[in-house]
Amino acid sequence: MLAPLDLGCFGNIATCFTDLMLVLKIFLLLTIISFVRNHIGTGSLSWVVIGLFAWFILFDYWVFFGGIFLLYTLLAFGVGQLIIDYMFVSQGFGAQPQPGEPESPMGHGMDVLQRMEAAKRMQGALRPKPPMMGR
Amino acid sequence: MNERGAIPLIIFLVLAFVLVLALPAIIMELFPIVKLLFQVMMAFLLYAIVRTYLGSSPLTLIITAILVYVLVFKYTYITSAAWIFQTILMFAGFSVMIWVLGLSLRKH
Repeated sequence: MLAPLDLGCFGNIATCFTDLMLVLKIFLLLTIISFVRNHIGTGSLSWVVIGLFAWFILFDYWVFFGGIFLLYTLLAFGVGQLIIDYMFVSQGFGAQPQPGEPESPMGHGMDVLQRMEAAKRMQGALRPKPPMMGR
Repeated sequence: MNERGAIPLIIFLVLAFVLVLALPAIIMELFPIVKLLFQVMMAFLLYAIVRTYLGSSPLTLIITAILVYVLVFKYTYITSAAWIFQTILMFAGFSVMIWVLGLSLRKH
C-alpha cells in the first residue's frame, strides 16, 4: 500500500515560502562570498565587505534584490529561451478573418508568394533558350 | 499574435509542463528506492555546488547541511521538480515540447 502523498509545501504555504526564501538567501550569500573573494581575496577585509554586502542585500533591501536574483537565476537557467520559443511557435496560428472582414496578406505571406512566383515566371520568359546541338 | 489560437497552446503547454514536472514525484511514490537515490544524489550535488563557492571549510559543511535538510528532506518533491525542470531546460527539451505542441495544434 502506498504511503499518503506528502507534498510538504502545500500543507502550509507561508512556511514553505519562508523556507524557500531562506534557500534563496543562502544561494545569494554564496554568490556574494564568491564575488568578494574573487575581487579582494581571502583576508579579513573581505569578510567585512561580505558582511556589509550581506546586510545591505539580504536584509535591508531584500525585497528589491530578492526579485532581481530570482529573475537572474531563471534567466541563467534559460527560461527566456522558452518565452522566445513560445513567441515563434504561436506566430504560426494564422488569424481566421471574421465574415466580412478583409483578409490581411501579412497573416500568411500570400502576397510575397505571388510576387516570388511572378518573378520566377519573368525569369523563365527572359532566360535565353539553349542552342540546338547536333543537327 | 492571434489570441484565439494561442490560448489553447498556453493551456496545453501548462498541462504538459505540470505533467513533466510531476513525473519525478510520481516515480518516487511508486518506487521508494528512487527517492533514496535522488536524495543521495542531491546531497552530493549540493555539497559540490557549495564547495565551488566556499572551498573545503567547516562553513561549507554547515551550509550544505542546511540546504540538504531544507531541499532534500523537507521539500523533496519540489526540489525534484526544480531539478528535472533545470535538466530538461539544459537539453532544450521544453523547446521541443513547445514546437511539437505548436505544430499539432496549428490549424491548416
